[in-house]
Amino acid sequence: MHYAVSSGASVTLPPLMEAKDVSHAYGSANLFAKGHRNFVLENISIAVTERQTLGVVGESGSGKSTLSRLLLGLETPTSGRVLRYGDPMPAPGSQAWKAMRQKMQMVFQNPYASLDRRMNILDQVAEPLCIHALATPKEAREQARAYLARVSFPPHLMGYRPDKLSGGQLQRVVIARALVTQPEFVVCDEPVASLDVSVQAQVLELLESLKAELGLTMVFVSHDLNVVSYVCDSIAVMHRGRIVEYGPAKQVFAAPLHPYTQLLLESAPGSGVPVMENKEDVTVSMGTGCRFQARCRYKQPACSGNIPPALRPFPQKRAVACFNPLSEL
Amino acid sequence: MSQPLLQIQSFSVSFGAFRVLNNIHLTLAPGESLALVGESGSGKSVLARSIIGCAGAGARQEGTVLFRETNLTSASDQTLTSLRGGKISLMLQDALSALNPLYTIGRQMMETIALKHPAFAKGAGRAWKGFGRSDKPALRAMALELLHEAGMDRAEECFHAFPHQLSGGMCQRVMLALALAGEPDLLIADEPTTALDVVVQKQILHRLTQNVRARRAALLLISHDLHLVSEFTDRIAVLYAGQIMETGPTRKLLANPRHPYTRGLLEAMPKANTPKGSLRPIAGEVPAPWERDQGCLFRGRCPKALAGCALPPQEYVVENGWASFCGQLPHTTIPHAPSGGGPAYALCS
Repeated sequence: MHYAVSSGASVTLPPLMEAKDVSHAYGSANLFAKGHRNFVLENISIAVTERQTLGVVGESGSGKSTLSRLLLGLETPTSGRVLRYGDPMPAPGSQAWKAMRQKMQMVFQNPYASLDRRMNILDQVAEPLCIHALATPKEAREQARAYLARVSFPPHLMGYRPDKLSGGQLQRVVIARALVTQPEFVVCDEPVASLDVSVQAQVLELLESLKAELGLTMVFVSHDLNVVSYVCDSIAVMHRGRIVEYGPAKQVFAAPLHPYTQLLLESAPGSGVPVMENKEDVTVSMGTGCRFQARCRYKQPACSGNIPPALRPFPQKRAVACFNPLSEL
Repeated sequence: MSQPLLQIQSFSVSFGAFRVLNNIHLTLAPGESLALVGESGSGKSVLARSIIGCAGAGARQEGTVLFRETNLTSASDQTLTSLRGGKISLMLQDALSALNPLYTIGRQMMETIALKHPAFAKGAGRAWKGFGRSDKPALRAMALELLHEAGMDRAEECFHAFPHQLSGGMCQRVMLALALAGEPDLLIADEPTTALDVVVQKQILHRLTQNVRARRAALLLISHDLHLVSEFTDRIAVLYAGQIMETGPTRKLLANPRHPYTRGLLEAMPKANTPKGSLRPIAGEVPAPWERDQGCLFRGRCPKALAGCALPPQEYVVENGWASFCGQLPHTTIPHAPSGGGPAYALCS
């Protein structure tokens, strides 16, 4: 089950962020079944190497957002460990945790909802610097102005409140706010999902250039495969709380190994592949083999056994969790 | 071409002082599917809702919308009520908020069928008085059939479920079944799959287009995704800030768009094999309704804009059924003319 993504050279530094056998459960919302827990992530092992962009794709409810919250240390996993440079994450709320927070930031999906509508743009971007006591308010505004300029935000709008601005402008503000503390690790959770096509490209290009300029490491969560393949170096495909495929973006998109990845690629708008009429996804209870079996067109008896397929390494730094990966068919 | 089903002529819609749709011309023949593509704020949803007279109390409409012989802009409430959900049906984006949370799917289906299905509906615009006991088995059978048709695997289970017990994809299938309940001649689908993931999206659109085609109904598919409409529609109209920029046969137009805006959109959209750094964003933002005038509204962001663009854009006929509203086109050689006649943009394999 254990799978190291970084190459096996003995001198390699531990990756920036790493999840080892991480499982995470949320307690049941049902008052009368308090003991029951819903596992949203199961045995996830993944590493994010420095200056790389990891794309996380999967349908809604596959655990993409939970994984990014765990990597940011916003939640502690139910079991397993999240490591930063090989060290365990400090406890949430502790002094060390607060210090670490400034090094990792998040860009949220909906810029309209993630900005304070009663605060002007400049102050919102300056606020993280004041929270982390990195600058005096005056210096903080100075730096905020510089970062807003860097994301090509028009200077004459900096004193405005968010309701006066368009979605594209607001998403630039959110990006500037995430970068102002000079983080090394940024999680972008569907950063362009709420933007128009013409503006989406502006934001993608901006992220790309900032990443090169500031040496950022990014996790990019999205359901748009075209966007992910454009932005990311490597990709993790998630399905029902498990990573079903991992590998360099180019290879995964060119020749998927897992049938679910194949289905996703065929379903992408403009793929030109005719629709495979698929069954509605039936909930497969935990522990009864592969969770994709109900929709899989290559299903075999082993798939419904008791053991779920483990994520096993493949050549070219790839990995797949399938009993009969597509390359072997 | 046969008699058009829907004819929209010199149609404009204003809210207060702001004109959100300006001089729209569109026709739709029976059996045809037309994509209405545009970014947010381009007025595509307003256009869809205006067709069935649901654009809101503050909307001021000019021009005509002819559905067969009926002018919908001046039609009485009673006529509109009988058309809505019957001959013209609208499928909305957010299924969960479009369904009634207090009633089971089955009840909502039966209600719609009783009111709108030609075999059951008695009298146009009749107020809902509840089911007659004798109707129930027939209504139920019809509801199950429609759910099956919409691609629902376990229609029986779904019939007794409440909306919150179904997934987004299942709810959207129920919406499709409801939209088909009145056997519409025109189905307007306003971003029917935006909130769904790609696998379900494709399945539902496939069902939808198949169904519409089989019944020779017309489809107006509203979307912001050019890749998506290229797979599912015959014709396309590109809307920007309330103006039509370009309209023509979907695949031909998207392979060799003539309008700078359509080209800009295609260059801004990443595809699976787009190399890094090759995206060309369109600079600037969509003009707000109060910044709009009579000229070409794209000129503020257009790389080819000249002084003449401040005049209302003229129609430039590229070929029969393909028109582009760019003032520069008559004076220029075909932009991006592909050498050897191949497409300049390979959108779809």
